[in-house]
Amino acid sequence: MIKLVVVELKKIFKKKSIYVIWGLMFGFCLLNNILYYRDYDDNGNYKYLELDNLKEEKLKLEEELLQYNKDNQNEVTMYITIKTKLDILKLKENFSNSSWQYHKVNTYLYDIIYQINYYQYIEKNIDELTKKKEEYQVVLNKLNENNYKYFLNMEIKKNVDIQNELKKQYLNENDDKIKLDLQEQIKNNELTLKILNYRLNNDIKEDNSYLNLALESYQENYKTVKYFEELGDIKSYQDKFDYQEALSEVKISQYIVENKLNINKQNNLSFQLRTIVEDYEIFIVMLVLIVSGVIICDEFRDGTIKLLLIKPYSRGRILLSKYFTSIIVVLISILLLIAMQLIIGGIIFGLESLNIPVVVYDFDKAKLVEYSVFQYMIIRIGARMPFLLMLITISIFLGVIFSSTIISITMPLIFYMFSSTILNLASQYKLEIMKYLVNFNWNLQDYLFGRLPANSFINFRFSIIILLGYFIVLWTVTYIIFKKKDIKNI
Amino acid sequence: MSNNIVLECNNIWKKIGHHVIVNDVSLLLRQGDILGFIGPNGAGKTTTIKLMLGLQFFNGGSVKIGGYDLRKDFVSAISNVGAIIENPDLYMYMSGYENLKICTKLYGLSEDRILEVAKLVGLENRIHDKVKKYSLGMRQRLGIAQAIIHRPKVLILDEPMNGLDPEGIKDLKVLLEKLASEENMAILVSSHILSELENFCNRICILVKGKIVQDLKIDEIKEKLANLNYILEVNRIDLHEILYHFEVIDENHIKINTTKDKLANILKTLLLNDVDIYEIKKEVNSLEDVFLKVTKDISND
Repeated sequence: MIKLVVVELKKIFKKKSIYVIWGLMFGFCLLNNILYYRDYDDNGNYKYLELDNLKEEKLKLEEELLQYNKDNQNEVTMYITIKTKLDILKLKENFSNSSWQYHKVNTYLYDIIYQINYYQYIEKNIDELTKKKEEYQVVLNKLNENNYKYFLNMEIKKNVDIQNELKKQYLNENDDKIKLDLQEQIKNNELTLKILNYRLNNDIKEDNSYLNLALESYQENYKTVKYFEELGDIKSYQDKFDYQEALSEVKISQYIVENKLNINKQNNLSFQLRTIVEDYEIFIVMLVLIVSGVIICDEFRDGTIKLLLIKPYSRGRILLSKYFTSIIVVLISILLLIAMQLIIGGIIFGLESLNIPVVVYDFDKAKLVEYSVFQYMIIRIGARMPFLLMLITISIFLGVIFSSTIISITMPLIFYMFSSTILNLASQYKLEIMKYLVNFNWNLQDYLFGRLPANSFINFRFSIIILLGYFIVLWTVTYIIFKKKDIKNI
Repeated sequence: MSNNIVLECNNIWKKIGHHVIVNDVSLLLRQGDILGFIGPNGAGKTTTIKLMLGLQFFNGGSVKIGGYDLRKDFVSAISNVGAIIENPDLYMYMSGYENLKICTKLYGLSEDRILEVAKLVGLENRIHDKVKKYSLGMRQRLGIAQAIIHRPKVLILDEPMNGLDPEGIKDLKVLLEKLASEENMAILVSSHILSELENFCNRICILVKGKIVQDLKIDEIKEKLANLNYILEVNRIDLHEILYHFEVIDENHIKINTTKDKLANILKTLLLNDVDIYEIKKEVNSLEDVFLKVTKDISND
């Protein structure tokens, strides 16, 4: 058996096609890493995106501004609205698009600038204008000084006032319904205040920093979680799913903020490694299909299968050796891919990120679990293996039945590529019968860490049964056909 | 093994749809035998060979190789055979050496054997070249090397002379005779051209429409083939007083069926009777003629 596998491997590694795919894989990996390094920020966003948009938007507004006459009574309101927007954009240009000022200019200065323009073009009130301009200068100075705390204190004060007001209203209100509504508002405001104070104490600005993003995500998802938890029993599947998502987000954001550890930084080696097999899956899929094409179909086509069949091995063993060979090639390719990523990513990003843990919320254990990058990667690859094994099985099955390279390569490829379309259609039109399709069940990654799958029709046990069923049926048919196959005369 | 029988084919038959491809074929091969397996195209030679090797499955009968039943103990039976079926099955993208290495690996032999067989078939100088670059004759020889690498008791070659030049055919015959006599292999060679096989096989089996029509020792064959047709171009054809058996083809040609020895006498007689002879042509005894002859003999019996 081992001898057979060794011989099969020898055949494959003598073929050029496998090296071509590996070469492509390397090139793609290199390109991907360079792009991530050069053009993407920590959060996986394209660095120059907003800057480009800003320029475009400015040009558009300038053009629009020309259409309105500031001396015309009817058009002047429109004129100042556009002018205010333009002024804000011009201010924005002074700040980096990742800074908090960039994001907050609009919030803090829109009203003031609008009023300045108002007094300048509509009311023409010099006193008010100078007053507003002074006010504008104060705010602008604070922005330029990078004095985030000034604005934060302002917002806290505002929110405290609102809170007091709401509480007063609540005490005076008699209608239960309105009372409930007020209670809700008070709670939300409390959360906002809590977050604002947290920002003040920990100096977290509203910029593009990971801490801010985590905090924002926490605030957003915390509301969702609380909403569902107060509801008590969650009935709809979609709600359950959303609740899970939100809960996981809350826990992970909390972890990031508390530990001040950017675990989801994207432009580093760790992030590239986590989902490596999914990212480069098309190459692995192509390899699977090429390998079974070479060791099954080509052998039938060239007649070399006869050479193998008159050797002292049973047909069952020969078939099994071909299956194992495919698996070995896939594993070698995955290892190679990881090695490529480690080398390329190591050179481009450095290796430090490998120490950052991967944190996931495990719904079964109901707590956060820390994994090392490699542990996490192996778990994901393991959960993806049934898919790859299934694909190998299907392509060997087709190869043995049709003995045609074209069919056994293209058919699984088409099936694979349209797999997600089929899934979407099925869930859109609630076609429950589709749950018996293998591609509905072959991605066990959906079930990792106690998560619910995107589709309500299936669950973990069902998927395992379906997968096993397909394996058994396909293998039995393949085995019988291969065993009974007459090698046709050329 | 009794009486050195290494391959025994008992009444095998194969049906595809309603069509019987191989009909009740029995064959015996002893050590040192070279059996010529003759039949026209489509007679079922390749199918019979594939049935004997387990590449296709017979509907009835049995095959024993080296004393092992092919169906019951495939692995033991098949390890006694080396074969080329249709064409040599070679991996074109590998070198000759690598192709042979695959075989040594699968049979669990040492790599020394590769150069040994390469030398035996005369490929030692080109063994590291890619098979793609080989000529047809070299591929055929590599195929034989593959087939004999494990010193099988039975060697089965399906149309090995196809596409070989006369010298290649001669070399192949020498090699096969050597294998039969020195290594004591039993060899089965199939062909659709009888003349290729007649002077080195010691037995001939004729297969027509999936049925063995005649299984003959070479002496018997020689006897059967002794009578030949000669076509003579002559100046007149009214020769009834001079010759007993002849056939008129046209005004200037007659056909005589006779043996080599008797031909001289006939020619002498003709010349003595003032018949001018312009040309003598030997009509090649085609396989079909032999079949006709053989089948005619059978019906006459």
